[in-house]
Amino acid sequence: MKLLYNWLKELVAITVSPEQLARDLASIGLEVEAIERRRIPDGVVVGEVTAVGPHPNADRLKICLIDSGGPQPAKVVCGAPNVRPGIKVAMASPGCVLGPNMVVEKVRIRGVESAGMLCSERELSLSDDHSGIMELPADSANGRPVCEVIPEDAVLDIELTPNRGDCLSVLGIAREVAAKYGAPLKSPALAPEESGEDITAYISVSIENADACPRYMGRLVRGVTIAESPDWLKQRLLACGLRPINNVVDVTNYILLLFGQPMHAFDHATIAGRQIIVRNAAEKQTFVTLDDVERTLSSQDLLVCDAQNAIALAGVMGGANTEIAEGTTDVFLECAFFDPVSVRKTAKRLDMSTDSSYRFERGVDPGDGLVAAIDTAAELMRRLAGGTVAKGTIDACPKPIEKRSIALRPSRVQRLLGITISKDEIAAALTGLGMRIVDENDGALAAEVPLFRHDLLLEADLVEEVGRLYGYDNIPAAETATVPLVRPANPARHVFDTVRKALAYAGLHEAVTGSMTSEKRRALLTPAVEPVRILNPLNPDMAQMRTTLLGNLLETVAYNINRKNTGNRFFEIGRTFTSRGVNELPEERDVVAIVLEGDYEAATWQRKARKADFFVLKAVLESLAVQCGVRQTSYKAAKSDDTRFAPESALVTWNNGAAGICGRIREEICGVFDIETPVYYAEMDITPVLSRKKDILRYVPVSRHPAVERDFSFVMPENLVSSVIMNEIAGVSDLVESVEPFDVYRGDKLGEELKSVTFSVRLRAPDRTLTDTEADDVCARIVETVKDRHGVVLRS
Amino acid sequence: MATPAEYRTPKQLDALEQSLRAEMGTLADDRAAEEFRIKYLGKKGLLRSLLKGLAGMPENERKAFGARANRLRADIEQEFKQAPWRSGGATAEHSSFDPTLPAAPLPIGSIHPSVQTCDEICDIFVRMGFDIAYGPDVETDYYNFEALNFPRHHPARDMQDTFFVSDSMLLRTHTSPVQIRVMEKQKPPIRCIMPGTVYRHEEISARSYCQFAQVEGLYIDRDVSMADLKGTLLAFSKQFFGENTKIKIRSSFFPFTEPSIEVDVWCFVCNGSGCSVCKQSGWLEILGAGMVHPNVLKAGGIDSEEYTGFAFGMGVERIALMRYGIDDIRLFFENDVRFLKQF
Repeated sequence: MKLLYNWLKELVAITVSPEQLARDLASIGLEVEAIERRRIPDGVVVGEVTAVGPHPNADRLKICLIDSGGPQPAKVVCGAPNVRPGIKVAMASPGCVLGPNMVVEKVRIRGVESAGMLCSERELSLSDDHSGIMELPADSANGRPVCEVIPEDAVLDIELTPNRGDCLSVLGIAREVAAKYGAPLKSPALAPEESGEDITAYISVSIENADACPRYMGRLVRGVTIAESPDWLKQRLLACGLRPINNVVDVTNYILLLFGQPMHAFDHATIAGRQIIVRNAAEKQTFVTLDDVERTLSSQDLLVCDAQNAIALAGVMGGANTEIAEGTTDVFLECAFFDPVSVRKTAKRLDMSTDSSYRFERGVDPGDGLVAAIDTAAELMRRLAGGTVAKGTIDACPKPIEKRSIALRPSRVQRLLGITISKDEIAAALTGLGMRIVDENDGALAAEVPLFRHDLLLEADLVEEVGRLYGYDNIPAAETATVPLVRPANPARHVFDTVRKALAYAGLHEAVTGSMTSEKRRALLTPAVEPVRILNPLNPDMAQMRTTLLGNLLETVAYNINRKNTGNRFFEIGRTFTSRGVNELPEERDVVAIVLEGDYEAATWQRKARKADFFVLKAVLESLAVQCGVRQTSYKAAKSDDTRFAPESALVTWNNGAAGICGRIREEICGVFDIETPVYYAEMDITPVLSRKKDILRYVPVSRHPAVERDFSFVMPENLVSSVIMNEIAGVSDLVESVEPFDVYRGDKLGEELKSVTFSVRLRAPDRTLTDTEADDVCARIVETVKDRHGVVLRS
Repeated sequence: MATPAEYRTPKQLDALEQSLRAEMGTLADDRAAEEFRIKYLGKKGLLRSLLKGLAGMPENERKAFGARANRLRADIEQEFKQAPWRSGGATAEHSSFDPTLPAAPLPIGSIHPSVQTCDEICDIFVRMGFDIAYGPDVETDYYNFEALNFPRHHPARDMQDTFFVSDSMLLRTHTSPVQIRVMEKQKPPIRCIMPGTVYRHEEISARSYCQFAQVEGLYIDRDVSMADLKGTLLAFSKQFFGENTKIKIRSSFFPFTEPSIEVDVWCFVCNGSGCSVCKQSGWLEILGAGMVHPNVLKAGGIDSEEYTGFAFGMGVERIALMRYGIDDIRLFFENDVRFLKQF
């Protein structure tokens, strides 16, 4: 909300600068986003247009003679449509600085020299109006600096929190300022000078939905003349971001800014049956609002109607059918309290947020404020548009809103704020904010809350009022706290931390990517998974929650390849989502994803590059497993029908419950991401690990005796995986300490579908040095067992 | 000198390996090393001759012996090549050692800057005795709004533009729902910190992203006051931003706290003299906080007469932006490795 500093000063006498005011407002909860200083620059003077003639070389330009108090009139070229003899204007002379990049110079415009520039309001940073040059009051003396005619001001842009609907006005802010500084508040209300018959002779009001319209007031101003508003009014509206329309509409907007009370002016002649009925719309009823848009309504929407038609969408916007027009003479003024929830529902459903609905949603003053607003509006209209104010006010109040009173214990204030404060100080703070202490006993105060404070409901709300005026910066900071000796560590955090460090140390960069993906991508990567769909996505690319991190990491790789970053190694710890139907929260899994592309280790002067492949990926996973305390991992060739992975892929399981898949991503999938090089990817679901307590390790004694190493080259069918033989060898004897395949050979000599795998076997006894006989015996059993169980023999 | 014929079994090769390693360890200079090389590793050296004269050996023994012998030679060669006397111990004229050549690098990775920031924040609170708790990203309207005292048709809901999954489910707009989940599970005293991803229905720009990380804090006990909140946040700020840090508190509004405050930290970039990071104000907005609203305690099954508490929340990326001088929040989600590896 835009607040004019000088306007505020009319209501509360303050001496602080706009900047200090902004800081003080912020401290009590009214955050000032920006301060715009408004000062007409030196060198801009009042000029009177004495003559206007055509420009010889341009139809749209005119040559004007300007009397700015000097001995000779100045000749100025001007293109504004409203320039005409007799008006007073703001003339900037050469050298005058109008803005950071705007210095007025003596220039030739289409061959005619111009001795200055006539300014629009925009050029003087007064408003956005650039439709013509600004016209100054007729009594301004020629040559006088314009900054004396239009005094310096500042516009404070205040960002209000949604609980403070009462501050959406100059009066509302003034109340806060008065309370903050302890200064008196001057009421801006005017009492109307009434004449003629009572308003009830001209119009009647009935309310059919009292819940949605607890109070509806009306006044009638007869015999007005629709015209432009005076400059001071137009300038205030413009400065606050509202467009002046005519004197009647401008008065209602002025009241909106001053009291925060939305009003509506109807052309009384167009109200059929001289009757106002406030009722709900019929389902699917249509209504054309002031902006000439036809709206389709629901039976939840509240309407202001005349005897025949709807004439306003209550609290949101008036109708085109009763709009104030040039010939309007009698004006019916509406000033109501519409229910915040009802107005909000209608505004939301129709996607209309107006200055009016914005304030009703946050709650306006249903009490004295309503009366002050309509009285002031009627009187101001009488003064500015002529006519007479009919006697009396219509005040339909089918559901009076009672004032609340809230009990507040000083002990509670002390306990919540952590300060020592007396009952009297508390009472003074509340009174300063317009509350009335209605009861006072030993333990508590009872404060009656003014009707404009819809946000004050509980004791804690009053504690906040005391606290913000007391000043939170004045509350001492506690230096100690009593906390339990120790709390159990969170196992999930430990796992995340371990995974992150293990993978970073394995040379991978951690990525953080978005959780949302497109239907197309989800269907490509996980066609069988039922996704969580977002009803209102930002765009179709973010219409679902991800079901895998594959798409995110392929995107990351592609992004880096496009930027010529080579050797891409990333991981991410993130969540995947699977729908469990509309009535249940989805299944969320914490997964670790790893992607490798290009060189895992770059080439150096010493060695060749180590390209990422399945076994590099496996090495990263194995290293991760070890760091995570996993004692046993297993790999099983993945099903060939996986749409994401090429045949070089495996299902992985860890003995701590984590499971996943790793391997090369199919070329077709990489192609979708414009990646032409092989990509290796692993995704481990670590959800089961997160709640596990850390295993307690048991030490295995280390033998002091030497080991014997023997190698065995077995010729095996291609479809026999090496781990089967490894396990077989390991099972032959307790003396087998380790089995490691270290060479795989394929060649014509062996024959088709055969491979030779050489296993290095280390034998050791815990308590003695092995004899040759013992070792030979184990070796013989190894050969025998492998032959018996798998028909596999040593290579000859 | 031993002859190849002496070696007939892998076990003998084990012994040979041991003696060769021992001998390598005694080599004092380049000359001795060269002699060693010729004797064992040269074309006619012992290790190249081991396979000769195996003709009489049975087939399977020969295989195993051959494999072992080849491995032995490869190992000794490798070790000999890398041994320090190859150049380091040499006289000046023989020196071919250049320590300024690049290292044979191990792949070096990194931890994401926003995660590092989040971890650091959590660590400080863990040191103050806070637990860690997590909650789901997809939440019910109840946990995200209702239980946190956001009435269904209240403009307060406009403060957090929401992605909806259904009428009653949404992507959490803040980590505050975890407060309720913790209160439901645990009786006071509760000291808990709750990191997580949150989502806002906002157009993506340099200043805002539709998802980001947040850290929520909660402390509920008998007689917890605003002074405790201030003390805790001041202690945190000093740990995180530096010992000289000051904080400033403004009144604010959040439906789930009453009173509600915003906390600004003395700008650590310019020390309060005004810079582009603090937009010349000398202060940085870092977090929102307040005393837990009685309705929220009630929703969590806690008696607000017996217990009071405070809660706070901060945006991790926002803090990381300020801390590292990053000017575009999108950098956190693009994952350009040239960006990531700086952290």
